[in-house]
Amino acid sequence: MNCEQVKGHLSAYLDDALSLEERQYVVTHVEDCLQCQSILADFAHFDALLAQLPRVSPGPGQRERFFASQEYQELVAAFGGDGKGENSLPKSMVHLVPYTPRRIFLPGGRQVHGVSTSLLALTKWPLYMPNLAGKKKKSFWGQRLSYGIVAAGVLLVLGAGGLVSWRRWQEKTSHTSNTGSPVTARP
Amino acid sequence: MTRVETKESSWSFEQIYDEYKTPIYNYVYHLVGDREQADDLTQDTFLKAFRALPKMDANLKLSAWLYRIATNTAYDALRRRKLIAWLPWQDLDHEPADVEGADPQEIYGTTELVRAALRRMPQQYRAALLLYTQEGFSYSEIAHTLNIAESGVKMYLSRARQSFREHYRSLEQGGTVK
Repeated sequence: MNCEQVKGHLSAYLDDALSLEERQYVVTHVEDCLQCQSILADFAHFDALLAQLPRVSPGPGQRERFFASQEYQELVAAFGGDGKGENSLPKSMVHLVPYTPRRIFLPGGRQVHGVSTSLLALTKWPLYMPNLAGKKKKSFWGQRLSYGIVAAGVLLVLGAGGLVSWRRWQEKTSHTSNTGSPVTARP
Repeated sequence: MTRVETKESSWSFEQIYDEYKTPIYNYVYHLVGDREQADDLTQDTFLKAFRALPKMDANLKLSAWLYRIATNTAYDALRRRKLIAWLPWQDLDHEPADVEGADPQEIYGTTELVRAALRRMPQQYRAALLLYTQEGFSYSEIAHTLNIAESGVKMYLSRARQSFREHYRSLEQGGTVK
């Protein structure tokens, strides 16, 4: 392993993410290489500086703004729905746990982030569950049936139109043949 | 009230928000370098997360999943912003880290250098380095968050450290800190 290759391994060496063999190569090389020693020392120093970087916090009003935001309200409303119960839970959502309210909800309820708690209380499942569960996709045969009905309707309209056109054409041709023949005087 | 069960435990939206808003905000801030934008992006991150909860992979750790959304949201914002001439950092109201025995003035200067070097790095390396050093993520968690192979994390961190070192040394030797 040459110096360039060792340089590529110094970061992983610092993280103890090398195999025993690779580690041994790096240790042996670094003992004699001032440049690699310097890089390794820098990496460790900069890791410490980055870890000490002051952490920043959001402003004090951010939480209130978030839960009062129109987007959040719309999200809650979209996930609301009428609650269809346990049986309507799709299998794909089994990791979502049903929520049973434990508070006492007064008639009329109060507003929690713009949503009436009485409505929340009525919802046995998490707010967004019933709505999503209620969105049933059409089955394969259902889709085929609806396509068939549309196709039959189109054929019916085309057929009726064709029939009417054909009759009108016939009438026209018979009229033309009548008017084109010599007029015979009545006796 | 909505509850979500992850591998670790059961959560409500509010619990998720309260638990993660500060670390996500801190992470996003260090990715984009602007407090106001970090505010908006943090809000966007949680909205996206809550909308996508039903689609969440139950095997994924909630934190890694949230950080993934935050990372992608920040990347999108950086892409939109395009002007890599970064906005000035607005963190002067923050106290420097409390480091025992160190000169605050010196620490503050160092902090600025660190941030300036960070914002000059390629974004994907910056994200990896922040997740490792600031958030204390493991290689596996970084791989999940950045949606890369675990073997790729080793390479990302190696390049990230090299890149950070180059920029830091260059700034130290007279480069301007914007």
